[in-house]
Amino acid sequence: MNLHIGEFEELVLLAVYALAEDVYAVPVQERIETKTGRRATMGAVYAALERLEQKGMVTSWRGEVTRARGGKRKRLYRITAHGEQALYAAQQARQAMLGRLAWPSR
Amino acid sequence: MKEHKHVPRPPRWITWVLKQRAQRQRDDQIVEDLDEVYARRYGQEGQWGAQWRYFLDAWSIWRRPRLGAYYEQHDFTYQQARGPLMYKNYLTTTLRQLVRHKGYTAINVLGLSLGLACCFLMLLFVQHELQFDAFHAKGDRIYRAVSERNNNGVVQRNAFLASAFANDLPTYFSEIEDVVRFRVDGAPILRYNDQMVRASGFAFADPNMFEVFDFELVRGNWETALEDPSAVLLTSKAAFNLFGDTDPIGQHITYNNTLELVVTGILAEVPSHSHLQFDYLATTAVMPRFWSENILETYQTWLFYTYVLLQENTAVAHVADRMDAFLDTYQGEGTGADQDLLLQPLADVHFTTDTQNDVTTNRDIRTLYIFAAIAFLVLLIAIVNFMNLATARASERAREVGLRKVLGAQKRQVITQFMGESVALSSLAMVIAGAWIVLVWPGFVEIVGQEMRLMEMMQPVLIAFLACLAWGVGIVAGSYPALYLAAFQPARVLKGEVTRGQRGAVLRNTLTGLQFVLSLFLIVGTTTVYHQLRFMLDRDLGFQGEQVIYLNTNADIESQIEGFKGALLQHNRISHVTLGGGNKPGSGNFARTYRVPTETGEIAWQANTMMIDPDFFETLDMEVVAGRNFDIDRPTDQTQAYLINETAVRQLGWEEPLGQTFRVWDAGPGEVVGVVKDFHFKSLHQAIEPMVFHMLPEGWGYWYITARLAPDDMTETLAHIEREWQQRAPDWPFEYTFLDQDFAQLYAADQRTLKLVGYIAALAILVTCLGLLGLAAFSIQRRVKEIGVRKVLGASVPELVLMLSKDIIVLVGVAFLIASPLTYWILNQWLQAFAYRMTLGFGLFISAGVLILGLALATVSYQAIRAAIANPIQALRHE
Repeated sequence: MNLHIGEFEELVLLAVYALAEDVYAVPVQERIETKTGRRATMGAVYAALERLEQKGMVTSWRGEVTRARGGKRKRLYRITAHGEQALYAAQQARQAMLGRLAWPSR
Repeated sequence: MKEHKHVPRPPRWITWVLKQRAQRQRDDQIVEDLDEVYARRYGQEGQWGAQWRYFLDAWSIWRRPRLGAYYEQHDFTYQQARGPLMYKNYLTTTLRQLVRHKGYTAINVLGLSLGLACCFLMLLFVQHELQFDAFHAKGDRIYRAVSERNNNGVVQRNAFLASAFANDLPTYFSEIEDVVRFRVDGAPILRYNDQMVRASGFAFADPNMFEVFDFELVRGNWETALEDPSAVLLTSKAAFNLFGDTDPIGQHITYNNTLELVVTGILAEVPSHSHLQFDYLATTAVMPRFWSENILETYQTWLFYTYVLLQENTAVAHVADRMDAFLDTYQGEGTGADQDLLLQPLADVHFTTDTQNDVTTNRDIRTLYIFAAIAFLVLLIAIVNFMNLATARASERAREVGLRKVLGAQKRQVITQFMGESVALSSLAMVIAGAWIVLVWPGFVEIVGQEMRLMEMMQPVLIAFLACLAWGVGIVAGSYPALYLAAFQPARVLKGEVTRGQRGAVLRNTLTGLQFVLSLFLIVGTTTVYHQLRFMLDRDLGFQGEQVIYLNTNADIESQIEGFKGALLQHNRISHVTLGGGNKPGSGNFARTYRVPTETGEIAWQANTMMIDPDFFETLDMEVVAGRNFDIDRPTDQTQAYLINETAVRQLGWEEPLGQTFRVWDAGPGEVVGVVKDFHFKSLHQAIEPMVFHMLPEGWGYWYITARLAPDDMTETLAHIEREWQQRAPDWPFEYTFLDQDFAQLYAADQRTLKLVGYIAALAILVTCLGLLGLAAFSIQRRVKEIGVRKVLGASVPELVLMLSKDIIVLVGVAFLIASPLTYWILNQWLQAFAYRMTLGFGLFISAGVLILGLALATVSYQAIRAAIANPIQALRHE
């Protein structure tokens, strides 16, 4: 099973994982920006979400038609088991790389 | 409860760009998402930061064209936005729509098809004219030589040249590769065994004709066909008339009972877009046998169209610049000053209208512009109609549009649907237009006065072009209604908030007004043309042409001409007989050059010439205003006397014309013994030209016999003449023409113009009224409730009708005010082309306006009256 995901994809996947409900591109982007301080353009976010779904790590569906958005439906996401495994694998990889090093406190 | 906080908006242009992307279902969330992000950033970073990030985000989406493609394939909640199923739905809807509203469909398609047909016909004609003479391979090197003379400030151009030019030009100019002379001569009698035919379109050309021009031979070899000086070529139709089923090649025929010619080939029929038209072709080599001996080498008589083929890569200016020197050399010192030989490119020949003796099929190029303009105008009217009707009825479809949008249709799709509808309608109109064209073609050809063959012209390229034109019209005409419809907002429409037909009313009225303007213009135009024609036909021509017949002479009758004349005069109902040659009233194709002494020396002066006998003026009831007529008892009159008309006197600037002398080119001088009152011997299009009269020179034969008959019992008189004729010239058919009929032929072209403008006017009005019908029906239907209420409140039928028609009346009034000055100006310009013209009066305009008003009211009133009479209960029932 291929559990490889890219660095940005990992961030996006983490966001999906962390946000409990109503997960769509905008809160994902907001979370990334606030939590990591990185700029994430919407285009990148959309693309990453789509790639993750292609890899089977998230599933998506279209939300309801609401008045507020002029009838345009959002695409909502949820992490899959496979996705959770991927996250875990990534974490393991980081830990393994770090080994017994501790961050130096300066 | 909604809160309306001040919501900051991102830059609109970026939003617009994004929206284009968001047309696809898979991307339709991006605009709203980015708005959310923008709002958040606005709060965090202020406006500029927000805008900058907005731009970055938009760019990041824009540069990823494949966003959402995965979802499109794997998510089945997406509807098939495109694909055959959707178009099937459109088709079904369209058909259903067309069938349910047959009346509207019929009006629209009919109007459009008429407009398209008219436009197509004009375009076909314009294309035909522009193609004139284009089929000659060496065409860009061929020039027609035309003589230009300056007589006391009056510039005269003549297409006929003296034969000697063709001999001398190539000698002098090395740039000239070849020269060809061409002349269509009369209507000779051709005889084969006992089969006799009066040929029309009999032409003579130099033997090198086919080396310059590309006329095709069905049988025979073009390189050798004209080698034999007695050779003659004819078309297969002509051959059939003469030879029947016998093989014509090698057979001998007689020309006018004097000349023997041998058939060496069969001509393909000359295409209609060639200014050189002929059914028979013989060589110029035979002409000296029945003209004067030196007819091919003289500068005296001007009879031939002369065409020059330049060497390759020669600039015509090289030759033109040295023309003066050439003329000096060959025509005598000083002639280069007031005479010039112009070289006309072959492509321009068809459009020359200022040259005497030119081919009759020539057309002013402005006529083509007018035709093209008309084509465009009528098409415009039809398109306007289409748009008007479609938008007016748009509100009927409002609910459909709203529903479609709710179900997820994008604006783009709605537009496509309605564009598709108009293209479908215009395709149908195109097919019907095709039917109109085929039906009307013979009539059209006749009206236009130009022979054109439909089969010849229907080339695939042309058909493809016309089809594209029709579709283009469909798209253009359909675009406005489609956009209008697509802009409907579902919420408002489904609630019934859209006021039916209110939007765009101003534009619709403007367009209808435009139609009225055009119709007014066309009506006034038609009546003007008609009046001008009547004016010309009714005008006093200066001679009496009624009951005057003329006969062409021939060798047999000529030898007994005096006897024949005497025999005719003996008849008590024949009052005058005269013999003549050269020009006759109604044709001016005989000109001679005269040398006239002036203060500055001798000038060469060209004038139309009539060779007559002393009875001429009496026969035609013309007035000699000064001096005297020719006198048979004065022998010097035979060779040394001239009469000239008043215009000649003016042109030559003689205060006292009697006694002045001048001479024909090489002959001795003659004296002016009388002045003739001006008369019109050509159509009233042209001012009267100078005319010289002299008696028949030695050795020449008369060309015509003219006789005045009494009006009663003309059949018997003619029978008598025929008997006399048969006695003397049994081999020649007895044919006569009435002079006034002949003259009226000159106006044939104008008659045709009249018909054409008339038909177009009728067509334009028809299309306008059709449109009006549809609009009126619709707008009145819209006001059904209003009418009901008014009626209940006591309005009478006439009051109601007036109220409903008010708009139309105002519209016509405004159109009238706009149309009149424009029309006046344009028609004035047209009338300038006539040397003798009528005056444009107010009455013309007023009556046209009244006519349009009447028609418009009639069209509207049917609906109006019906609505006004209707029972108001029906209208108000559903309140």
